[in-house]
Amino acid sequence: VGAAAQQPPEQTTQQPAQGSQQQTQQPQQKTDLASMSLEDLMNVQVTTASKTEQKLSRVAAAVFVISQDDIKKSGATNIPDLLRMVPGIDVAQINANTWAISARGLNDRFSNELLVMVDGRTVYTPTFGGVLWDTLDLPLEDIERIEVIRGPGGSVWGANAVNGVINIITKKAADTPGVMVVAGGGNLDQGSGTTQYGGSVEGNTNYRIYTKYFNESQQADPAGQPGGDGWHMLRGGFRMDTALSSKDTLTVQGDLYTGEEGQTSPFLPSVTSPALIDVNTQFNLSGGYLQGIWNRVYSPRSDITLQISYDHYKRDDVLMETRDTLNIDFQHHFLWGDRQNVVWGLGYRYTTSTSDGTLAVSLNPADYKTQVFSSFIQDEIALAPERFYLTVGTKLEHNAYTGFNLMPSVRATWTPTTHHMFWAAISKADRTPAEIDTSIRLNFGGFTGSGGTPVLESLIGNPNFQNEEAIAYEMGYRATVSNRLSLDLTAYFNSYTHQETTEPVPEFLEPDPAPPHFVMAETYENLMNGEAHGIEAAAKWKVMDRWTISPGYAFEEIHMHLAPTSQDTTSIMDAEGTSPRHSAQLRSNVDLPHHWAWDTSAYFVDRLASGNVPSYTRLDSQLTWNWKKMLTVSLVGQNLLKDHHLEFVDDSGSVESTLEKRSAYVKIVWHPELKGKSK
Amino acid sequence: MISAALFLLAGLSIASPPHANAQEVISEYQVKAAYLFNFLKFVEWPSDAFSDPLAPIIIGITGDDPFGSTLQQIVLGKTVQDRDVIIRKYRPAEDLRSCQILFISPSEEKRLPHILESLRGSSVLTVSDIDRFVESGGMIQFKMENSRVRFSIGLAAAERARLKISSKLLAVAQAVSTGKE
Repeated sequence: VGAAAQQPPEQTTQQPAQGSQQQTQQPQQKTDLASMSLEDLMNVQVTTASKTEQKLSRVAAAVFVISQDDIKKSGATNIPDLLRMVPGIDVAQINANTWAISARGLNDRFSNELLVMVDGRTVYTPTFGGVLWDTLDLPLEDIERIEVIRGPGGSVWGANAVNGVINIITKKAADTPGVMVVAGGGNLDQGSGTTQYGGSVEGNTNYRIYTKYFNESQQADPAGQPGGDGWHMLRGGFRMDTALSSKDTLTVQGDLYTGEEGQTSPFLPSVTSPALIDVNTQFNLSGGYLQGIWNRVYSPRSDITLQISYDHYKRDDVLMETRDTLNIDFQHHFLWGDRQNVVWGLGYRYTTSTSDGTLAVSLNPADYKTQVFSSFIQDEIALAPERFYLTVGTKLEHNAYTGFNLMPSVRATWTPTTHHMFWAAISKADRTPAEIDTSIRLNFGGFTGSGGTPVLESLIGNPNFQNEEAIAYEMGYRATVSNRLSLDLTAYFNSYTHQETTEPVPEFLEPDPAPPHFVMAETYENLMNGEAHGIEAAAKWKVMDRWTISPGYAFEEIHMHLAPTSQDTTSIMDAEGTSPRHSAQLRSNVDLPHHWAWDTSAYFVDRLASGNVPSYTRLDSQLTWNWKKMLTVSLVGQNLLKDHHLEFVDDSGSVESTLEKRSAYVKIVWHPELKGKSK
Repeated sequence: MISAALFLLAGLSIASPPHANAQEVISEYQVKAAYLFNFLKFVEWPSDAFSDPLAPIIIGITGDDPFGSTLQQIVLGKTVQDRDVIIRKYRPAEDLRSCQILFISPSEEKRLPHILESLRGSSVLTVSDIDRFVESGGMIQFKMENSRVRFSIGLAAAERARLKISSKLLAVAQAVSTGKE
């Protein structure tokens, strides 16, 4: 919770090494470095990667950090469930293997305004401009932390970081030594496990290799019938960190996965069929990535990073899509004079895809090759060191659909005392067209027209679809009220323009597929504007030494308006009704005697107008016993309050919902070599 | 989306909350600063290295100062071998021979041969993290190993400067080079 709030500035010992002007203000160290012996010093592990890290107390954005400790205490088995603890992030599970996740509303299976990265590698798919959550997985034990920023990251992160950025940062290989075995099972989890080994070569190279497997059973659909959404996946991966010299570090990481999952999706037998029929299909999916990150530190005042990644996936679902993506990013960071901290970078993405859709859903053209060029610059100016910082920046990006986009932002922080920090930001962010906006073809079914000719109802992508634009005004306050209580408050107002609507196009005759038929179609236009406003609050309260509670709350409200020329009838509901007006989280963590711990999380989500989803409260609880750090046994119950509940209905009808069911599992984590070590 | 990538490594990356495992994060240069102070205890200077018996030990820094306030905080109020310890930052072209231990910042890599040349015949203990510092005639070079700060010693250079390095320091050094170049 309010990770933001959890870190009172005076405890920030992570030295940003950003030149003397900041460090001279650095408060007293907790560790008395002067009294450390040579032997002590030789064993201190230091953060070389933090050369340019910015102190949390200075981040002018709505930040929430999920630590490894939070992950352990959540009982979550996947990344979407971890994000439920963040106020302002809307997490809704559609079926066992499909989620709708967004920040600050506008939620959808194909949410396209949230940017997700793993160790700086974008896991966005250009097909719909969002995240394939089912294949975003890794051993959760290897995550160092997850940084969640609500609000635009446009000036730095670029298009599609309109409403939020999530960066999953994995542990360095040196921090995961030895053997780790994780095994679990329960009524939903039909068997899962991770095996991992971490080692080192020649003192300067560390590595880990792992495999992970899970098999999750199907859930029931709203009619109580089997949902056919069970899935299983096998994944193997590695990470290697090498110090090439005293200045250069190289990280190479990658993974490969293969799995199978089930979904109920619409199918259209022929152009004369009256309506879509739901068909349950089981399909294979596979993929992987390889990436290298080279970092060179010229001095504590200047460093460069080059990151190259290659990503491949193949999904045999309705679109039968295969995609290959190459990303190259370069970044230079330097201190300019005493008061300016500058970062600039260049990026290039090349992506190529093939698809083979069905009569119900296809892309036209079916194959794609696109490239995106981007650049950004940002300058953090210490107007009054440690007290007042101003950050100005902009991103300039070029894509094949809409050309150049400029996304500037201005951010400021004011820290009147070390316990209180205020921030404010104004930023522009664009959502650039995804392939489905420009190229989708959905056929819903037909009827016989007045002249006896069949008429097919369709939705056709618009190659001239424009950027959706947002300007966000945000402010926040973070405070350490006492050493037991911290707070984090955020308020925002977003102004949206050129949002997506569906508009009718003139009827036309289409010869293929036979028989020849008229098409009564709609296409995408940018004829909706609107506003969103909301507040988010998080706190962490250490009630007693052994008991911490972390409450959170978010309020969000969206109003959309159609342009006078629009004939749209659904987009307002899709935008306004897909996120809860109120949502709240309450986490309780109790350390019990004799190495037991009891952690409980409750999540309240208000009703959704779209799809008539009733409000629900989800309760998860876990009891954990730890033996000499070597063995951890957890008993976890999830969705304990109700037998089953509905979380989301996909308004595009691309997939049928199933109900989240009450479940329990047992998990064992075994680190045979950690015995007695303090690690 | 694109340069998304690295930015967290640089600009906006956020320190993980310390409460998580109550594990304090210490930076590379905090540790190097503590080493600098420790070295004073394991090196013996010839008496003519000080202007008078009460003169303080001076830790000099040339180039961009990577330590910030850390080094100052460490030496504050401390005495070593009955001498006060003070820190002095040198401007370019200033005479570096007035200190007992000199940290040569990575920013001075290009000027390194010139700096070492200007110290010839003096009794200044030179310390740096510049690559191949010992091979270039420096005395103590910091090296990173597994996220830990280690160092190697160029003994020949130290002996030429008439410095006595204690066997304890030599024992914990990663490498000791005695070769005469």
